[in-house]
Amino acid sequence: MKKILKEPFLHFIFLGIVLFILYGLVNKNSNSKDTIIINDFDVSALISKWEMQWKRPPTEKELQNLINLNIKQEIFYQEALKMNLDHNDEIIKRRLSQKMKFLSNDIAAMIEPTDEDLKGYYKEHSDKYLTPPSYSLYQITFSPDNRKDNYKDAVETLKQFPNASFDEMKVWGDALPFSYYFEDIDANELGLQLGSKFPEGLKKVAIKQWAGPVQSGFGVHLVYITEIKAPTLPDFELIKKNIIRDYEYDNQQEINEIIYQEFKKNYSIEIDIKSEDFDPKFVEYLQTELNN
Amino acid sequence: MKKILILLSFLTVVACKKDVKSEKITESNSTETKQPASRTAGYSETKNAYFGNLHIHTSWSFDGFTNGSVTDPDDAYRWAQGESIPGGGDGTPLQIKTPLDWYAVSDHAEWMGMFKMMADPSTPISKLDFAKRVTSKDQAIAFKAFGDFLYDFSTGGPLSKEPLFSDENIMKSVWKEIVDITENHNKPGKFTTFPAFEWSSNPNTQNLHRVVLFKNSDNIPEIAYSSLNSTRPEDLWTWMEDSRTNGATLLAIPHNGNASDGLMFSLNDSDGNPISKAYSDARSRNEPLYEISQIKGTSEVHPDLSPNDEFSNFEIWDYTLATTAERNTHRKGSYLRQALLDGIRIESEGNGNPFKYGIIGDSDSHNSAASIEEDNYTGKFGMENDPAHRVNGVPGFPEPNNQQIREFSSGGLAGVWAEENTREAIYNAMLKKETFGTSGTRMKVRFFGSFNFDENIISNDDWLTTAYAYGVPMGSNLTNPKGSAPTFIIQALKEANGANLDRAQIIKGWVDAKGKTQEKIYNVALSDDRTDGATPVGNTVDLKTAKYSNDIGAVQFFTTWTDPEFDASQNAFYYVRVIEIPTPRWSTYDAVSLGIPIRTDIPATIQERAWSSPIWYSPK
Repeated sequence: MKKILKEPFLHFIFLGIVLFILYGLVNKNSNSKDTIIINDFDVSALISKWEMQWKRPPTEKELQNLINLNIKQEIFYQEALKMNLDHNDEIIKRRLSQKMKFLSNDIAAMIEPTDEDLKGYYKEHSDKYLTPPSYSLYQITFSPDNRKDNYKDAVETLKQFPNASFDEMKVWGDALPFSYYFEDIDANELGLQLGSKFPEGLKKVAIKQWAGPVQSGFGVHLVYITEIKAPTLPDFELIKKNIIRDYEYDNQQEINEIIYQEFKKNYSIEIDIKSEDFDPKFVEYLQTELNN
Repeated sequence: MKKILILLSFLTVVACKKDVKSEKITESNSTETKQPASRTAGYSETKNAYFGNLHIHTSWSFDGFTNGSVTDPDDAYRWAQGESIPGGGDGTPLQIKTPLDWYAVSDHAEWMGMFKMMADPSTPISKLDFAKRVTSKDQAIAFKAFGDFLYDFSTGGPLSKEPLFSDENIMKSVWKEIVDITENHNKPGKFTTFPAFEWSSNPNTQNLHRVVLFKNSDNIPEIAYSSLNSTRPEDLWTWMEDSRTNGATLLAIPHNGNASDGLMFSLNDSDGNPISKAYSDARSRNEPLYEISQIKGTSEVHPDLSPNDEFSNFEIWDYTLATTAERNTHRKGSYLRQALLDGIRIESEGNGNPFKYGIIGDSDSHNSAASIEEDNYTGKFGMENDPAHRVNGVPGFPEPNNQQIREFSSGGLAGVWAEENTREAIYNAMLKKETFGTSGTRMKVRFFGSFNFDENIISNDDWLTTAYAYGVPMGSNLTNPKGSAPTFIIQALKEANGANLDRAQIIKGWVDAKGKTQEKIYNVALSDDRTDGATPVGNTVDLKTAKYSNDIGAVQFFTTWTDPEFDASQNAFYYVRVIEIPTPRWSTYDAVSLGIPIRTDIPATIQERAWSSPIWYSPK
């Protein structure tokens, strides 16, 4: 018996038998071949995809390649499924959860808001649609580039010529590549052009007289504000398109969340943390929070 | 199946509360999106600089999705206009400090359809009897319809063979949806959007990517062109020409020559033949602009190519697109300055100029937010939204890949000189190359050239009108020399909320009498009364707090320059480079906010910059 056990050929046969049995156990369908059917529909779909791209039908060889590629992908896909390669794959998890989000987005999109819904939304979010204050003003820039103390220069100019006309005042300032006069420009746009400090500074100066200095990204300015328009809420009809867009966007987020919460009710979430590295109070907190 | 039950019962509950439309309105109102006949607010004959990005990916791009982005094109357009959007990664939301003027989401064309194809039943379903069933107020009917749909699609049942679900309509649904979202956010005079996609060809991991941008959605192709169709740029151009024949208006913008290992500006075509006149014509007709700076580095110039350019070593990202963080081996053919030189040489040899590129900067973020502000950097991918990940490394990533992430630059910007903030004006400016690129700063750069400028031109208040009337702006050609050298006007204004300027330079390239290419850099303006360009501007950055001061540098440069070595018989180009004073790199802001030491293997401070499109001179 011992001699037989040492015989390499018999080892080989034995291992072969074991493998065969194991394979039979694991793969019960080993005898029946899987079938991949390529029907009229599949082929015409491939052709129409190709035509969409190339504005001509594929040649016979191109079509053959397309079909081969598809079969290869399908076989790898099927085999991967058999090997459970889709399980616990982070990318696949994310992909499927994204698909669920697409579904819920589509559900959200089916609900058309009424004018009443939109008006309610407009009222509730009126701060979102409020226009910023707008200014009409003259400005004279005192740039630091060619001055020892541009702030002082501005202060002294204002002290000396508080009632100067624009043309008189202009000669004391520096030419920079933006306008001396802004008409009805909103605070956001002013911030973009002259830096965010500028509209902030405007809030503190008197109107209808030379005032300042007001700081910008380019130095300091003497300003003469001719008019300020207070923030207004544009008419509903004027911005209805924006309101619909925002309403639908918010609605989508809301429905995503509701659907998630609905699904979540079917799961009890158990926190199984035993390590003492974690504060038991934190674990307890997680346990209650996550099931709410 | 049980889960779907709940989803449906919920749907029905909601449907009972509100009116349900059986047909989703996806067609945007065409009268609203057309350019208004009247001029919009801010219109200027002498043009304004509008800043934006056209190279932005979202979770609808395969790699945006796999790398943790949780947002879509709608979110991206909201971000650009100043709204806060979800960030993925550590969950920190994304919000820009100063909103942009225009934006174009350009998701990868590859697999674009596959993401929403099966999961998005909106348009085709709405045309079917199925739509009525699924939106029925009878719970049982709605439930069964939805269940049938999902079941059949996962098992290849009858509904999945329904032609409407699988024909070209559904194949193009994602592209159409992107176009629709883009239309929805376009507000002439306020915020401009463009439909776009990226053609992502990288043969042998050598990057040949191009963003394809449409002026509007008029006659836009039904499906984007992907590198699965072809990896040859020549084929992309043919497809673009075909699209033009069908009434679309579009251009392409290549990027990341630095990751192409010499292939982006190769002197041969895709078949290995030397560049012909026909190739040059097709390339320059379809590709007016090149993206010089973005998250995957700057590709103006490499120190190996221009060893005498002391500012050449700026945010170089020297990798191919291989996932193994493989380095490039070829410098020539990878950087724009070399390409501009090769272009005028090829032109002087009678084969046209294949590399006649205007310049923009852009982002290439894959997380909807362009991430252009150095002190508000949120990374290229969703997973880098956590500052510890982008500085210390993403857990589980090999170290060379983490180093690639640390060497990512913050996003760049495209500056466009246009009369107003509309598709018409901005697109036309791109076509005319009246653009400049920046590494992310919003400094504004003007550049004009002429044989007719009076040297006192800039002392006149109305100099801009004169400059346009008697000269050409950046991106144009100078011809007809009048026996004298050309004079250029250079104006640069610092970013309103940003850093002061160190210097303005003119970079000249030309073909000498022997047919060889030459380059020379002239400092045409220096801050702080310096007269020697070799004197550095200084550095005010405090590395402990990541703060700098504008006590050095200039607010504005405004000067003229006449080429002292002009030879009317030689092809040449001139472009402007304006350099800021040193400011903290994003990684330094991160280190300070995380309270960790600043790494020594990446620069702690950088000198952000802008590049104008060139002005070309040719003798005839």
